[in-house]
Amino acid sequence: MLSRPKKRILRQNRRMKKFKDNITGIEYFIVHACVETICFYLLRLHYPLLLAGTIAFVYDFFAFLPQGIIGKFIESHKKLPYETIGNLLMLGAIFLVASPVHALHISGYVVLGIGNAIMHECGAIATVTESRGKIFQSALFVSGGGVGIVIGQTMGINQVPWQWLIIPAVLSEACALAARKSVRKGTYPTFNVVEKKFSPWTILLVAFLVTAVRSYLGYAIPISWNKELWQTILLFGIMGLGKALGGYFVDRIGAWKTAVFSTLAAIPFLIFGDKIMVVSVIGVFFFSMTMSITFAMCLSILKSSPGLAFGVTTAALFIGLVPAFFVRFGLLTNAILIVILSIACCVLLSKTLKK
Amino acid sequence: MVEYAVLDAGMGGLVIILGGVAAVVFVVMAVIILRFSIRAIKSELKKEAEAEQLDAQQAKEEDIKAEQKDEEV
Repeated sequence: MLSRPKKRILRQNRRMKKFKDNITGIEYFIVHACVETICFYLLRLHYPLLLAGTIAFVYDFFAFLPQGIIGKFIESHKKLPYETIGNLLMLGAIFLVASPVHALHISGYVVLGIGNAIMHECGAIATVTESRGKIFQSALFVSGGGVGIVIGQTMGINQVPWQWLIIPAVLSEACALAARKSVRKGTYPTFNVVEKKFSPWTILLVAFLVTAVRSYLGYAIPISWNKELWQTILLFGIMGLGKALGGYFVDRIGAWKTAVFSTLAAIPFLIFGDKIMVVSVIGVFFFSMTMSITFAMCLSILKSSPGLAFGVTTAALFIGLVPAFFVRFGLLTNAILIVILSIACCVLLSKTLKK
Repeated sequence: MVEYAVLDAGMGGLVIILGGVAAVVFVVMAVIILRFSIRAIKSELKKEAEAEQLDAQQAKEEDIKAEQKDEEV
């Protein structure tokens, strides 16, 4: 029998080991939060209404669509300091967007999008490299975005001086440099969450479709209860928690169970949560859990290119966003869409994921 | 009034033309990016298929060697 102090030491050692095992995920959680803080501050700084849609579209285009190519480039040219390039681009974007010359603003958003894409790809590659075949670290990295979105939006709407953005930029650079070796290792653990009977293109197509649908539904979810700042913070916090725990459950109980349970469980909460915050938040939590599953599906196919695998999911995120820029449906149509598309995603995932 | 109407129409036309050009530029860029991405995925899948084939071949050769050793014994 171990004495109490020894047990405590053992427990502390175990916690320390867990922390060290997930250190890259934690570092890139902070990087992601800093990056999104800068991006969403700048997206909210000018043009709160008039050009918001155009700016968001331009930014999303450059931030989401080219990530696959950027990831592939990073994997095959390891000597360049991508983290610093990404952060410098973001720093440059701060000056461009905050400048009094209006003509420079839109180019600032283009630079911002490209910087954001580079940082995301570094995060994806680093967390997969250190993952030991588990998806949790990547999920942790992705969940950091929600924190940054809330901080950035709040700062931007309240017109906090742009000079404050130097802090997240420096913090992002420090954390990214701490994990720089992970981006350049070049050997990646194997993921195997998909059924082998399907062709690689089928699996990639399913992952793409499910991600695109999730991206679109993100805009279709009725949340008329969200009026106060603390409610927005809660919403994005829960979203981040759902993404991180989705990865945790994929590692614990498997991708199939997590996918089927979370997509089906989310439906009633999302539909009936329009005016009731607690119900809606539970739905958003389940809804966010599938994020890491589609990434793991792409990783199972593109085994030696996590950057490209992440790029497939981000391209799908952009394609899913596009309709939201042009079409808006009513409450009932959105509810019907949520039910039909969620069930379709559940069927597709249950067929292609390994039980 | 007529001058304002002409100005309005002119501005509207300019917005449509610039918007149209921007839309075409974005579509072309999207097509280029997607084509590059698909090409990268294709080469990645090809590489993986070749690696799998090589693994299978090596396993076969090892089996044959093991069989030969057994026969010699």
